Amino acid sequence: MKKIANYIVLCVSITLLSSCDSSLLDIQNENTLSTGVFWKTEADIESGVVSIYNMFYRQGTWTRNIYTQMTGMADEGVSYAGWTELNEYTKFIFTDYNFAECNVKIWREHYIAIFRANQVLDNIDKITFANETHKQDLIGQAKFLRAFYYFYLTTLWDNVPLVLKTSSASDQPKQVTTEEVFAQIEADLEDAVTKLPAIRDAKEYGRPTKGAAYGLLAKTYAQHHKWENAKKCLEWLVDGEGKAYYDLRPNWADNFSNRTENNKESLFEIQFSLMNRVGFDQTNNYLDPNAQLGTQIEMNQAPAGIGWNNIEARRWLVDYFKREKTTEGKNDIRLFHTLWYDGASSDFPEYPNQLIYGKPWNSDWGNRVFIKKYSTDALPLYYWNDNNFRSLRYADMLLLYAEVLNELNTTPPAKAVECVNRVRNRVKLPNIENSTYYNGTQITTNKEAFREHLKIERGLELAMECVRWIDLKRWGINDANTLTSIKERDSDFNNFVLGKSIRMPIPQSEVDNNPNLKQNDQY
Amino acid sequence: MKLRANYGTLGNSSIGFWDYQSTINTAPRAVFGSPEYKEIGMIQSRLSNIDLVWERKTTANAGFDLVALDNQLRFTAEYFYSKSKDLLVYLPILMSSGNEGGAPAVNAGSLENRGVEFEIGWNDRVGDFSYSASMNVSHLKNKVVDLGYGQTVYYTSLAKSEIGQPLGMWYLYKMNGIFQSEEEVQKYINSKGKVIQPNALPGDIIYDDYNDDGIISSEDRQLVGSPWPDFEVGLNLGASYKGFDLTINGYGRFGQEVWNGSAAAAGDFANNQNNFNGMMPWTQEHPVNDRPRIVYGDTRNSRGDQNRWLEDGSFFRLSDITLGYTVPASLCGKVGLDKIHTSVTFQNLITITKYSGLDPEFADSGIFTMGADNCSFPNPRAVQFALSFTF
Repeated sequence: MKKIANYIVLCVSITLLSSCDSSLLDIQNENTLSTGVFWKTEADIESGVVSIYNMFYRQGTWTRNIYTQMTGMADEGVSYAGWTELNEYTKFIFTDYNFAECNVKIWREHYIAIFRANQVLDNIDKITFANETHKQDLIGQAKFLRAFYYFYLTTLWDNVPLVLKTSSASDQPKQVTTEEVFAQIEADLEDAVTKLPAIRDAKEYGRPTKGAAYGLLAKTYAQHHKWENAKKCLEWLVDGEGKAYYDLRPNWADNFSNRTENNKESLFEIQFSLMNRVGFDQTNNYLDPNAQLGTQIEMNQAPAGIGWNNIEARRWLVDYFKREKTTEGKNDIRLFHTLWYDGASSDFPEYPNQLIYGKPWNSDWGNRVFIKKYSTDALPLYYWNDNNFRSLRYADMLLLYAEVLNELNTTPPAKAVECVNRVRNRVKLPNIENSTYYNGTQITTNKEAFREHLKIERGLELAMECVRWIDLKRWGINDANTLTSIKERDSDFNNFVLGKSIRMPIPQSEVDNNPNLKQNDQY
Repeated sequence: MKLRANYGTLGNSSIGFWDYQSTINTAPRAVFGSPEYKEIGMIQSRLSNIDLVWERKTTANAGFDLVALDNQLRFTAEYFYSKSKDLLVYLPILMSSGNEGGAPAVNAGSLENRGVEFEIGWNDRVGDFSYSASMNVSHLKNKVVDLGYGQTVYYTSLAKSEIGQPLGMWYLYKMNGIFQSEEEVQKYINSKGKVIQPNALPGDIIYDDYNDDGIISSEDRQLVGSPWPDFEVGLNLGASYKGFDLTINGYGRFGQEVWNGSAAAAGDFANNQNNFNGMMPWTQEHPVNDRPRIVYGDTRNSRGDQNRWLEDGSFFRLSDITLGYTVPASLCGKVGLDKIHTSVTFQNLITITKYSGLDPEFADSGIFTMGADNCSFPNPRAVQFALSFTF
């Protein structure tokens, strides 16, 4: 009997003791890699960083829609797309705030990129790297990219939720003001500046450098009207250490060609490739390792009947370009490489046999103006191309430096004029003082006139590079007079409502289901 | 007469085995360098909830069955109540989370259904002819008790589900008719005298300025209808005479409002696409008040989230009619068989409805938008012939 009792005690204790380990319930799925076993090694972090770059290749980011939206809203672009919603979205007519193509996708994919950056930043500190500099570089890259995506988010929607930690499903992140978004971008980039290397080996092209971080930081400070801070960044690039790494390309067109990528004028460049050449569009298939890595910028903007023609240019650009002649008495070569229009053959007789994807100008196009910048000599035009997008260009920095210096002084300083002239001289335009069209004396001596003239210089030099909308926001469209003058260039602005249209409507489903997020004013 | 009452709780976990675990996506690639090359990225793409539990459904009902007139008349009344707790659904989460690859499974809340059902039946036999008929009518009230993630309200692009209210109520812009003249446009003002739709032209939709702020914005969406039927009806008829037998089953739902997605798409007219053929829009010559003018390249009148696309979805359908004949046993025996039965069944032959979509009995698109008919494939109409042998 006693023996039996002993057995019972033994059995009970085995049962009790062995069933206490609750971790047995949390089984790892052995068939896939789960988060529970990831984020342990340097290699995990490295591949985490790569996947942030992967977000460049999405329809809502730099594959296509951001070009349509940013160029379309700005006064340089217009859409005659047959897709009415897409077309209206570039004209400040926002009917359905849940419109996928140019609202939801852009919003969503920017936050996916931010989620990826946050994962890297939340996990990297747990890991010891063999080489500390390498670790700091990776932190710098993740912060640069997070800042990059917030920069465009706030450019489009202003007041967005700020997510800085790895998300969980129940999160309802708080919306912050544009000021606060800028402050966050600045904090990330100030840190990135100290962590990123000044130069990279050819194998690492595509990853940001210190100069790239300074460039984006300068743009952010300028948007934020923190001129003094912007000046410091630009000083580094123009007169400081950066002077050794960056310069204007003698041949202006090199900035938009797939044969002269990652050149000295480029501070940060999105790397596109045709390596993944699957037959159908996989750009938004997040599970396909063979998804395309090219850009559709060319297909998106190619003329009616050739490409999708979702976006084209406003005619005033042609007229403005033709205001001045080069020192050789010719038309501005930037016009030739930026736009396709009816008069190009006679304006540029030095280029005989001008063809658009193998065809001459079609007279049905009338006085429409198509975007040539970033076109390649692909024939026939393919859905994707490999032409890197120059996201931060040195010419932009020089003109911005001129603007910032002007804002900080009562009259335009000599350095500011010098920067403008560098950009002009490269395309054989005379110094602004000697312009045959503009009042150079006034421009170089009057702060207001200089600022106004920069709007033209930037508009022409940087046309169709997704810069104009950022510029318009920095300069402000806050009063009826400004609006009237913009309307003269772009009738899309007839739909522009002061205090409303300077930002897009936030996707409505996002506003409805996040109590901490308000729809933008008047939407 | 019989009185009865039941109570029970069921557990259910009809979701994926590994839904509580986050996986690493190994597909991302990125290009670097000169010459260019690809690098492999790895990252978490889809979020998950680790604290998932089984969903539980508690049901209770009470009723009585009454039989009278020598079992010929049957009457049943029942009150039922069910509560689903911790419902497991893939509830969409915010895009700002950066989640992709589908919403994670979550115990998204609790629902309550209560209602009554009555059934009346009759059967009789007159010589070789026997027949039966029964009809049931039920009414159901649905209420959201709790939503997932601590939310008190959840919106889709068409519907609103709020705690204390029925699930998936229509939450849309409301059409108040059509502007018939320029004068009407100028006269359409809010309480402060502001012209609400200054850019409208005759023939455009008058949208209701629900919050009276003088502009039409997302704040003007409002509750405009319910996707829930007032009552449902089932009908079963049967008859047989000698070797012939006939059964008819019918089913109907009344009073629910359906968002007609195919009409919203084909009534667009703003895009170069397939639009309604033969529809007479508003014109100066044919001024109507229930549909706007047609404007190509302009979406002002064609938005999907307006109550213009709501329709009464009431219907009654004879879901099947079967006529059969059993060959007399004497004949069967001659060919060595016990029984031969032949029949013809008509499925969904007759549907009585005013609903203009493809089929008023459609597959819904999720519990939060259950009244939305997104052009789902209609139930087939079929004729089936059957011949069965018993050896």
